[in-house]
Amino acid sequence: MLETLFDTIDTVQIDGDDRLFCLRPLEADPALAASIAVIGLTQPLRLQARPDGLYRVVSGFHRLQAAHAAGLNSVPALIFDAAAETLEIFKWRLAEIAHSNPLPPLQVSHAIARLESGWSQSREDIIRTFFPLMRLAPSPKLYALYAPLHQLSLSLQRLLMQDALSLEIAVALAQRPASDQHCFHGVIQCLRLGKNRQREFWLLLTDLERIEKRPLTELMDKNPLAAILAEAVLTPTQKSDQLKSALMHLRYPTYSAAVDRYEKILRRAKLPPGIQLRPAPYFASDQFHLELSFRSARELRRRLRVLETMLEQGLIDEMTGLA
Amino acid sequence: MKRHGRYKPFVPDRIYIEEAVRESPWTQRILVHLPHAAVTPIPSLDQWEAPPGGNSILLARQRGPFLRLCPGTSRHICCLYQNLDIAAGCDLDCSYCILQAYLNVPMTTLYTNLDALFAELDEKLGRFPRRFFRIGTGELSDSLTFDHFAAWSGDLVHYFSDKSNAIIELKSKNTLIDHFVRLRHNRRTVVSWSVNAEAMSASEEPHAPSLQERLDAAVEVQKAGFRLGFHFDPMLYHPDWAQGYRATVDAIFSRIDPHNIAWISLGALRYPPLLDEIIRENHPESEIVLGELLPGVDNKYRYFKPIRIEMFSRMYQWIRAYSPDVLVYLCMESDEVWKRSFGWSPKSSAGLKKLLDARVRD
Repeated sequence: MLETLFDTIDTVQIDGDDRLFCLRPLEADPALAASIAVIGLTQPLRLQARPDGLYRVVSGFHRLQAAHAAGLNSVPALIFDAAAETLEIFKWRLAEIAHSNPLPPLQVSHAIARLESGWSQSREDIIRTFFPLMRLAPSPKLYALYAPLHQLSLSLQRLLMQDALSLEIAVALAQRPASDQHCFHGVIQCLRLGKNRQREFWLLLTDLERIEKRPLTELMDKNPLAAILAEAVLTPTQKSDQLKSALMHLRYPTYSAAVDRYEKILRRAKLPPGIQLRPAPYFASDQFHLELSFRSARELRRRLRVLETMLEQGLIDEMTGLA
Repeated sequence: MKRHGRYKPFVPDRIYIEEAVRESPWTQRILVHLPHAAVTPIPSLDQWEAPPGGNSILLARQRGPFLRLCPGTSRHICCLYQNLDIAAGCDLDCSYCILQAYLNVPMTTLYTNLDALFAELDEKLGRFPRRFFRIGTGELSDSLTFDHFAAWSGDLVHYFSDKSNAIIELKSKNTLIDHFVRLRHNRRTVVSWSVNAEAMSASEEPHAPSLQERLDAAVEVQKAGFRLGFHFDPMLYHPDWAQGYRATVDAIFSRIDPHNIAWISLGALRYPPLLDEIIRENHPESEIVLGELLPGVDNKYRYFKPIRIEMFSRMYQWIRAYSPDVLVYLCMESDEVWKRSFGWSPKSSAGLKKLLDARVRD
């Protein structure tokens, strides 16, 4: 059983750069600082005394940062003894965070990185001993999935913590160079992509990378993709639609050409809104669907005349011969 | 271009045996052929969890029927084939293999209660004497890939040799023909090879014998008087697809007499959406997922229709240039694609079955 003593510690005695127990990126939290400035620090930090007389943070990295920002000179803390095994404290810390829910993936990743670099724990030991402490199944698949996440850029880690980044995409991006992470983060931000659409765009872009044998950054620098993202007057939704269409043309050129030809035929036919003429999805079958709406016999005759004209001009034949 | 390594037949290092088939002669035969494999008996499969990884096989009792109609795919013309599920799983690990998404067995499983298989065949073939059955073991496995230690081909060739209303098709990428090639077969066995463009075979089927090796085996089987089949399935669209597939057609007809060919099938790459993710995960180097694959009317991904039609129609011309008579058919395609690729269509699954049956009925 690890014991702690309560004390009040001068903030200058705490080495905030000692991140041995830190499990997520540290970010300024002005709201917390403002609250601490008004009511003080109500929950003590947990610290461990170090042989050099300073203290390292076990839990409360954000509170310490906010206390500094609020101008506090001392903070209440529960202190682990310097002689306590750091690995035992780390285990306690993991169990504390995961007491009600499994550790979130990003924190698992940081924990794995700490266990490997700080205590030279093997993959097998982490899975067998530490995953249950984090309330995770002892699964090598989970390890492979979560381990790389701490390599994400800070901005992507932030998105992940906010549940605004698909885990699948996060895992893929974590194994990519910083330039690719930055590039796709830019796409997500510019188009305000939700998780499903992130996946859709990621798949299109990474397939194109392989098809065109160009890195992601080079692909996105190319027009029309770069121009769409840079366009000032379009809304994020309009940009997403245009970017998707541009990517589809590159990814599925034969299919996209057929779609373009089909739309050209429809434009030549000058169909009124009361006539809907659609091919089977992806032209997968040879069936076309026609929907007519009308309010009077006269209107129906007008609609039928439009269709007859299409037949006479050979547009229907063109349409059915498209794919 | 990636090349095939030298083909090495699969040799399991551990055999798990379900108690129910421990004494089966087909189990015992496998144990004789694999004297160095460690053997672990399994009292019951109900509570058994397969250990992960390893180079193991499971010998088990087939609980369901061995024989079942090929499920085909909705709204397409299918050949009404009967699958004989004698094994589930395969060692060849081809990138496009549907088994990656399809099987729910704990590991590669060989069913060794073949007494029940033959009893079921006796009953089924006897009950419908006027119905013709084209039966194959190549749906949930490769028909020959375990034959060097299971030697089932001999049992099957022998069994079907006196059947008037059925044939067996041994469909394979393999070359393990020793256990049946010298047997009396009475032309009731079709031995068929799955073939591809050489470049695709090397990159997507790297653990299988090369095209050259498959054709060497086919020549041996031809000499023994068997009927042959060739399945260009899945055809894979790639930059040099036309040269690649034409070269394979040329290679076949340079060594095989068209009169000995029962059928040639063409099928373009198609798979359920789930397999897309699996291929990307299991075969990250494979480029087959980068084709223009779009959802079809059966929700499977397929090449955009004009691409399929171009591949099928050119293949048809190349094959026809060698033989005006050999039956070429499409696997799981619509009436429209048949007509636009070949200029004719069997119109229905029953129509296709009739054509295929006629090739081997007598």
